[in-house]
Amino acid sequence: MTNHWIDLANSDCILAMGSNPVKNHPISFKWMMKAVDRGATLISVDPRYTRTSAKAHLYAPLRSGSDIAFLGGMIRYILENNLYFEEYVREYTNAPFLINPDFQLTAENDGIFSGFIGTKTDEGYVDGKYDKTSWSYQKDANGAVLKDPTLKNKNCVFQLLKKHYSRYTPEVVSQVTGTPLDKLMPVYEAYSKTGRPDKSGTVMYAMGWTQHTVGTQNIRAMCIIQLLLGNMGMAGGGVNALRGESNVQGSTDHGLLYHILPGYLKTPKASQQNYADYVTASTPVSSDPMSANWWQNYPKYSASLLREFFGPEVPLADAYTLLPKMEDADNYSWLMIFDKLYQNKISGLLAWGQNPACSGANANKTRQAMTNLDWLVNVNLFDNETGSFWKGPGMDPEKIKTEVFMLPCAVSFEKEGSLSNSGRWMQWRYKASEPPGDARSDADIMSDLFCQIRKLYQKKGGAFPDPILKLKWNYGPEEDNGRLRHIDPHRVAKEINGYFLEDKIIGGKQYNKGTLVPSFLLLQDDGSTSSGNWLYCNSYTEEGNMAARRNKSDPSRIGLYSGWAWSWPLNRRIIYNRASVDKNGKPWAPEKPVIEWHLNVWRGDVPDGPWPPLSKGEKSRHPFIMLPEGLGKIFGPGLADGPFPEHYEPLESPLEKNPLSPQFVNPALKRYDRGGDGDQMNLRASFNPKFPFVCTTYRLGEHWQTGVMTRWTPWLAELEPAMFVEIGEVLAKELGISNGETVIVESARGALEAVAIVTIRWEPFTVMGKTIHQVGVPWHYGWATTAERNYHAKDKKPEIFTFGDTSNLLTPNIGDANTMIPESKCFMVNVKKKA
Amino acid sequence: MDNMAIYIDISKCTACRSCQVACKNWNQLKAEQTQNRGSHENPPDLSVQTWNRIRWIENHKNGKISWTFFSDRCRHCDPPDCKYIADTFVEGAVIKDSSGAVLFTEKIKDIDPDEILSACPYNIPRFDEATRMFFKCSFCSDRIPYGLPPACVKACSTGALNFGEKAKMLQLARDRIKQLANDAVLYPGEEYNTFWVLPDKGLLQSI
Amino acid sequence: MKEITRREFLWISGGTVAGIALSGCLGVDMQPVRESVSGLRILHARQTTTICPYCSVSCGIIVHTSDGKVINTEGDPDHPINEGALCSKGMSVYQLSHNNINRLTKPLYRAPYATEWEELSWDDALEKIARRMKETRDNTFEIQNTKGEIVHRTLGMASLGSAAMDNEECYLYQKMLRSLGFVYIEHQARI
Repeated sequence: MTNHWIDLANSDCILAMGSNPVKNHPISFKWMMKAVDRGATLISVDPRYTRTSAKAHLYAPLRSGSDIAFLGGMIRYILENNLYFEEYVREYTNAPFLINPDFQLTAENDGIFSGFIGTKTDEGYVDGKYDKTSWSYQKDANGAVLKDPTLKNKNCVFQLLKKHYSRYTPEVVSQVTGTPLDKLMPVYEAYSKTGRPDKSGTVMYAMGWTQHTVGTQNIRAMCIIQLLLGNMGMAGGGVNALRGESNVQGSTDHGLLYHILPGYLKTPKASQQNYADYVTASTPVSSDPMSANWWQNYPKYSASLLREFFGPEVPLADAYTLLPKMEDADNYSWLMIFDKLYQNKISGLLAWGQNPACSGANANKTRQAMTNLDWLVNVNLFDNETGSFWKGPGMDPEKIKTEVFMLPCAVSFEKEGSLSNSGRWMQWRYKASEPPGDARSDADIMSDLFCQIRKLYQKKGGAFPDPILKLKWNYGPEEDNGRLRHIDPHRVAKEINGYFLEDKIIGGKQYNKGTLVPSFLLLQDDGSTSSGNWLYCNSYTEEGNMAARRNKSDPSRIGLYSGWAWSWPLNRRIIYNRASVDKNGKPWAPEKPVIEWHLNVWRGDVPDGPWPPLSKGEKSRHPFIMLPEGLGKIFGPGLADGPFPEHYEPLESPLEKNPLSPQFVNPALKRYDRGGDGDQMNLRASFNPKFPFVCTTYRLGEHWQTGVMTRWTPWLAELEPAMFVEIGEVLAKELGISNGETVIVESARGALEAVAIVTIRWEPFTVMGKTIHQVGVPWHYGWATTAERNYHAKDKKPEIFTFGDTSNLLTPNIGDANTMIPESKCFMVNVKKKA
Repeated sequence: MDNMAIYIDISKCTACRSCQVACKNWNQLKAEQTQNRGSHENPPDLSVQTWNRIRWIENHKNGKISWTFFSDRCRHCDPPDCKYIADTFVEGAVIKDSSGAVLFTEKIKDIDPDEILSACPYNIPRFDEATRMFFKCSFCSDRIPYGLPPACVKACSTGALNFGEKAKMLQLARDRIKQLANDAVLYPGEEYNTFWVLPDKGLLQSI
Repeated sequence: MKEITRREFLWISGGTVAGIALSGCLGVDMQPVRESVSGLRILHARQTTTICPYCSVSCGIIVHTSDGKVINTEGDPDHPINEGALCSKGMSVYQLSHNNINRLTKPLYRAPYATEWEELSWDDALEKIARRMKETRDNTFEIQNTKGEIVHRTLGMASLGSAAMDNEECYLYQKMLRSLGFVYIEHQARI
């Protein structure tokens, strides 16, 4: 979230699209209601009528996978009716930038943007990527970008945007999305009203936007709208991802993904053979003196990270070589892991606090792949479908070679530490009780494991032991056997914040060796500071543990609660807040000011940098400080699949053709389904009479993720005990299915049993004149807690049984062109009575 | 802490069911083995282990869908019919506590259970064969003396559940009815220590 | 109205008769009006603040413990986001504690082709895992790629997890994995 939960109350219009906050983030609704009490409009856009819809002023249904058409239509509506915030668009975005005249929009270029490299087949362009040369800004001889502040030049971003979305008329949109015009237009009207400078609108999205082959572009489309309406940086504005797990923000911040190191630093690539190459390739440059270009500080953050990893004894250049490098062009993400595993190219897997046997798309492939493992380590609170995969449905344990270790860990309140919420608040939590039996905290388990491995390398040597032997691992009292007695979370938190490794005078001030660095502004590129994660530098200082603060005063009057816990970066509660003020530093919305230039200083939230407002000329900086341009990107050349979002059909669609383009699906996808006829594990069925219904997946308020925690919680299992499929009344009647009956839902990849919930809340769509039915399944279930399975003497048996297995048995293993997040929100199925 | 009331504003309920779990948590009630019967509503009925239950009501009216949620539980009638009937058999088997709670005491074992079951116009108390006792919402009367609201009220994030002096709660309910206008009604009425505002009197048929 | 004893009163309400007295820190601005014989079961409990382990709203929860045992959990009324309220999941964390008899309490081991689990000590489990990991790493470690570039990695092992861990654990975990040469490092954010 650019903003935070309490800030929802400041909004004038809340668009819940690609999310169902009332159900999945229930306490967020408390703050949405406060906004409504102040007069805000609440909009729910969802394929089915949800509990959020039940509380919304406006509800608009749309067919899954058509969000870009819906949002593209809104962009067109805003532009055609001049509802955009002109000054904001002109001054704070790249709308005036002139684009390379060679750049071609999809309408001029057979449905794809210029620069495509790939093959054209009978289904259109596939397996491609873009050469982005033509997606560039026009520059003068000094490298400065050419701009047209009147926004009239035909090559400027603004005019290209207008041209691109001119095709997205309300009539066309309604035909593609299935949203009736009388439901579509009120949404456009209500949301566009936030283009007034003193109004702000916000969007709440979740996996309903990310789990698509055009997932990133769904979000990009909304970012464009937010920039056009001047909603970024504002109280009650922003682009707000409702993250699904208590610490998925923190775990991402700390680099538990293949492509990023902590603090969003880049994983080194094979072509970057030395530290200097790496730093040069990773540090952006800007020719605009008014651009803060914050990432120019990259070398300070990477040097501080290497210091935390290996300590001051290892020179930075040497430390860099100790880190693993990935191939420049290769992808190492989730779907790739299971594809490689399926091909028997990976022999060991750590599934630490995860249940991939249920959470991975195309679960049959995932589960089959796991049988190729030599060893599997599964750390969890409860028995689950991953640790016990070898005795799951269709498995013959006597034929499965895998050695499995299932390790018991502590629950959140059986250990001490911090987590970062969706609004970037880092909060400290304490230990209330001991874990049961021999269960231990994750930190202690991994520390003992690491020390054990290190001991083996110390004794016996092995392949390139240097990074293991040189790794700094001093987070608790050491025992004689080389292990730590326990991990002290405070020590780790302090190392993440960072230390001065030498006495240092910066800006005339003395900082002593061994003291905590007060802010990332003071991190150094010469190795004289350490910091495990620069974004968290300022979270644990000589003044104490900022995340543990419980000061409830709120002088901001807009609910910033700046004395409660701590928020990255630098306790800033609303990011890009320089965009919330005009050139003179006066808030666009004086009733809810985020920051304000007052007597030559900023007051309010921690500003995005200390520089004075733009009217002060060269001393100032543009508001979007993390971007080299310093300006919000309406034209986004950084994406893999286009600088503007374009509607492409989902990989599995009910349609034969893309109504908006000659190109059917996103051409820049990594496809697994094109392996040939013999490939039974990567099947696709689009516009196929065997699978006539669109299916989507969703969560329940009473369960969480694969249900490992909630299915074993009797009070929750009682509330939602079974896998179900929600079917509209019209379709149920056609299929002769009655409410409460057990039915089979099947896709090209798998099938599952589910209880039919026949409801008026799923209405058929009319898409291109054709009736399209959609159904929906939750995804929290799994065979391990069912009554039907075999329980051995040593197996745990739930107090309350659940029914059914994961909906990922149905979902396709195809990912978004940028993120490789699977398209779990839209695929084709059949629903039939159980024989 | 005399004459308190639980006031439930249905228009604000989202069926998050934290009140259902809070009730089980505070009162240490067991979960029941349930089935999905073509609805999200569970357990299927009030029981010895379930004293508060959200009922899910889907409606289609004038081309518009509505989805409302009703927390079903003891109304804590004032005066209670169950007490009236019980008193004719054993004095003190049912009491109306000063806080407003209707509570069953051990003496209820001496009364034919059918008498108690048929006495309640809202079909609330549930009989436990094993202990010969009745179970239902207790108003969390163990929390009230300590300044703690009933567990369900504390758990509610939306303002659907409210607890306080009855006069104050009634005033809130009347104000809300005015605000909602149209067909909003107070249910079951004023002679109760637990009452509801229904945004549409048509809902009366569904509860 | 006939007086009844508090004991009857509480028994009737179905609650556990235990514990005593006031929990002022629950932050509700009503004063206790009378003492009782049996009292409130969380009265003398130790209160520990925590943050909900479920969705990312991150509501505050108070865990009540007595003699080291979790006896109650409820919303933290001082927390500015949830102000004491919780959803059904947040309200149920009591059953994630040792009160849930189905928690895993011992390291479990499944040998190749075995049909059942066996219990292991931590020392045995971690030693075995360390040996497997070392063996895989040693067998698959790449000093150079096919182009002759130094890559110092293993593609023979992968890691998934975890958004359910604390920040400090996430940091340590990735640090350990990267020192071992893992490139396949993924977690919930990708799915």
